[in-house]
Amino acid sequence: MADWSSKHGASWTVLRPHLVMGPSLNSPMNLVTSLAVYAAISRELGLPLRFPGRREGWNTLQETTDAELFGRSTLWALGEDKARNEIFNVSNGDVYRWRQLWNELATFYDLPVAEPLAMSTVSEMSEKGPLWDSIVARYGLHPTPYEQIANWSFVDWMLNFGEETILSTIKIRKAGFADCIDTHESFRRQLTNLRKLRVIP
Amino acid sequence: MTPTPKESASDREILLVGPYGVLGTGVIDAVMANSAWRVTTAARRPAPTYRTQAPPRHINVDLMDREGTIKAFANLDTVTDLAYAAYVEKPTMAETVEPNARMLTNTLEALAARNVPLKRIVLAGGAKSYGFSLGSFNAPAKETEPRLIAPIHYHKQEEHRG
Repeated sequence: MADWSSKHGASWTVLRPHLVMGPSLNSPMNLVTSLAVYAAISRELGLPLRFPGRREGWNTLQETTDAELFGRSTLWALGEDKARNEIFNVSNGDVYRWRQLWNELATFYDLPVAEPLAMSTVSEMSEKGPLWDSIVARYGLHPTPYEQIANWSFVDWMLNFGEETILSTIKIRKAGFADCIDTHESFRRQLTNLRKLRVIP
Repeated sequence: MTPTPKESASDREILLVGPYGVLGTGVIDAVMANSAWRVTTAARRPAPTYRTQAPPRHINVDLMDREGTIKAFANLDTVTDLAYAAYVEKPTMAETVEPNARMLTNTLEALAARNVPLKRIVLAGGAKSYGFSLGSFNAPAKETEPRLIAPIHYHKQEEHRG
């Protein structure tokens, strides 16, 4: 892209978000829809909401990018001279830990939280497709096939990630993109929006 | 909210490639909230039915198909900018490099075949550039971090020998 741009007189910008949370289906990397399905199935089975990852994933500092914030950063980059031929990390501007953010999911589905217990959701959630289909029917949701709304290998990867995942956003802020959102607020807003769109119960 | 860019953007139209993944959807929603920009979308599939807003103009295209992409983009004479958010996942990172690089190449070559020069490009990258897909991470990761020896499709896309 850099070579192409210099040949054709265009300017490029690379934006590096991390763990984008927003509405979409059939995305290999959408965590918020997968977690909503996990919580909805827990509720359906009369179970508390249990974090299915390891202790490191529960405790470690992480970062995420709200989808609309990413969209606004794209418009900023396309219009800003300082963004020409530069790479920028972009994220909500704060950090989170699952042991705190998990409560938002529990509150959203009105579930108590159970003690974390590491497991493979790829394996343990594999036979829940028919249950998901019955949830879709009962709540009158958009009929999204189970494998298009939840990606359990991505859930396992994200919830077990043991290293602090912080992308420095000082460069984009110094260049003039100061937009930010509280990650807890973003997570609640994305869940609320998905419910309003009848994608999740 | 981000203020409207200084540069007059009223005549700017984005071609958004990969519009209905989690990244692209964010771009559509940002454009719909900002009258300074217009957007046309391109993907294999049109807007999903769960979305309530009227979708922007959409072009059906398979970016793996070079000739088809050139045909599909030939008449996009109002498009001035590209936002690239398409992604195809393969079982390994090594296998992920080639198709993703090819889709970007086909997009850029098809846009170059038009009469309108492209002003700006935004390419969506991510934390895989810092080792996330390897299970490691050095926080805080800065943009100046050297590239990894591992096959990462973002590296190939960022270069693109045109």
